[in-house]
Amino acid sequence: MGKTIIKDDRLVEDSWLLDLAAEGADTAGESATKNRVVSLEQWQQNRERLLASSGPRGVAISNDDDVLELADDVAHLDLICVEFPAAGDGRGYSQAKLLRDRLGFKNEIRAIGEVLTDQLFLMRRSGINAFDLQADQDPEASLARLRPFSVSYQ
Amino acid sequence: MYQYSPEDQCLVNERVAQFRDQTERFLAGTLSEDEFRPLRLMNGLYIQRHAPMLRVAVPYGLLSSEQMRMLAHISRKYDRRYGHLTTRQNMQFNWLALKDVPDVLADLATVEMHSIQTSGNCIRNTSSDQLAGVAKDELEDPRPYCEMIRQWSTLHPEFSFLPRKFKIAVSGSENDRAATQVHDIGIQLVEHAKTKQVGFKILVGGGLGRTPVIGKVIRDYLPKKYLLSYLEAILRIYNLAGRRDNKYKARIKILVNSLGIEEFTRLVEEEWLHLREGSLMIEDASINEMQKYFQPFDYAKYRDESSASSLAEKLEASPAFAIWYRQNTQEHKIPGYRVVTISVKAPEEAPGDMTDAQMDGVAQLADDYSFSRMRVTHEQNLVLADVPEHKLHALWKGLLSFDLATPNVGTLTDMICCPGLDFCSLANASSIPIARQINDQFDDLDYLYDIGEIKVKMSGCMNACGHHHVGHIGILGVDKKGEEWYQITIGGSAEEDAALGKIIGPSVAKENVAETIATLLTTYVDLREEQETFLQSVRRLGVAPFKEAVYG
Repeated sequence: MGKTIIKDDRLVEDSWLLDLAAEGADTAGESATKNRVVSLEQWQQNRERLLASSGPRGVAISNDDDVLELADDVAHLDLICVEFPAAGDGRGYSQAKLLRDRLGFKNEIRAIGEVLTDQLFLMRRSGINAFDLQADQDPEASLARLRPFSVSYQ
Repeated sequence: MYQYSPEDQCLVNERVAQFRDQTERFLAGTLSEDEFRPLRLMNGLYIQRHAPMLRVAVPYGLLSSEQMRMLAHISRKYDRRYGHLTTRQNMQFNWLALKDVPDVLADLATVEMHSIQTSGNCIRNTSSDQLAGVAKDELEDPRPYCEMIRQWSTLHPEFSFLPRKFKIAVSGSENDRAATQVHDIGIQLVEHAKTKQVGFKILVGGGLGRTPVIGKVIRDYLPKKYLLSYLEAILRIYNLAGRRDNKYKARIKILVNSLGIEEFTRLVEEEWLHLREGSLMIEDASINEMQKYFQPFDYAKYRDESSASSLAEKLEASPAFAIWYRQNTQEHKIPGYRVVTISVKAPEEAPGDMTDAQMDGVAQLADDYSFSRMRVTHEQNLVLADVPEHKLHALWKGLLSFDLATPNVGTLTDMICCPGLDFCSLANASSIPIARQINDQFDDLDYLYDIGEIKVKMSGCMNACGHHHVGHIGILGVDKKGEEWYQITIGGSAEEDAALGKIIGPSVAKENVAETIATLLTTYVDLREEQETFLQSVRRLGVAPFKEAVYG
């Protein structure tokens, strides 16, 4: 049974498997029911094969990555995970913004890592639409705090 | 003065509700200390030595008398009947109870005030010239642009978790009273050499703290409409590339220095190309709308009446008033009016501290004599910017009754001083007792007037909240094996001639600070040429003769 994430303002069961430690993309077979997310490096190394495979494709970027390297890839991706290694590390906000505004990525952008209830509204407004909460965060309470503001300046 | 729209008010009210929810969860134990810390910091709430300290935003230092009365009320109801003016033109309270803070914020919201982003690693209160709108040397009032920046930066989703805090200052005059060269971004209104259109000169990477740096020009001229897109480009580059591994290396100045200003500029300009024609474009109509909030008052034509002669009579009759007039008032762009600086530097008080009675008193005086408005200065004083000449005497009497008429503006005892070890948990050494020591040593006003303009700036630690690097005399408290010592610098300036002070030698013991300053001043008096200020003498002579005098 999968874990619960927030996606598009609803609690849903996660259909993706984050498998960043794996060697490459050739370990298919394990967790056959899940779509796999690979790191940017894995994606770039195995791009041709991954593009040839059927099914949804997901990439996780770390916050040292330059998201603009995905310029030619966004059309082929269903999910991009943006990592927040610490809640106070705000690079992911700019990465998400660039993915949406500069690269025109329309599919799921998911926050992973130290994803906390009280920061979701900023993430959402930066273009992130799915949240894999840190384990100790309450999904219901987080969902209720997704929109603390009805107005904004930006 | 800017007036909130229903949307502005809504945002501030919702921020109060959000913070109330966060505070309640923290007090109930469902939000951990680690999680709560950045949330409260984002709202100006520090946990200090004695109690939480709340820093209330005063955008670009401008206050109405109604707002000042609310600050007095808050100090009375929730604190110990005083507040402290800061070098970012804000006011902070030192003795609040955490459980009361949501109520304090709700009270503030009723007068269009808040504490959003007065702390934390985000864009802080934009500061400006305390003479904005009334200075004769001004190209254009900078406050409309400050307000635009305030709105753009408020709860900015992309820039709420920057590598480190971020400070912006705007000056509308060549004579820089906003310290733009020592800000993360300094903005100066300038005229285009050819077209004569007013735009902005943008500086980046200035700052004080552990590594003081004078800002570098990233753009000589930026048309007004691009202000926000350009700021967004700078902030994005900084957010993505600024260091996060070491908080002492995380300010934008470190990034600018490590990349070099040419490369940093290239990155920003490239980013900006994508943003400049987008939604951040500022239309002329928006500028006009914003400028309407900052129009000159309906000034009376006093000059051709009897006002000048009435003032002259009073000056003649009262030497004490005449001294205050000379020291604490200055020219206004409209004849018949004066700009009054209220010294919040009474010798026996901590610099920048105001009691509730003083706050209420100033609010009333502003109502009576200065269009119900006042400004907080980054030098921790207040300004009543629009006082008719013939009302100055009555104002002075009023200020006297609140102990706010010390005629020491611009002198040695008009010091910038951080709260220091007495309040701040970051401090290594005390500041306020040193200010007292200096006041005790230099209690002869005539001597201070002879010394003339001198800016003393003091910080209790290298975080430099007291701007010591840019003091004509800077005093930095350091900890040496548990004892408080003080490093003295001379020759700094935060103005258009910005410079970092030079250390005169080994730090001095706590009891010797005022004496050391006395030696510096004696040296200056001995060596100065006619009309030369302390700063000019230091620049001409260098540190050597001063060092020699202090250390032998």
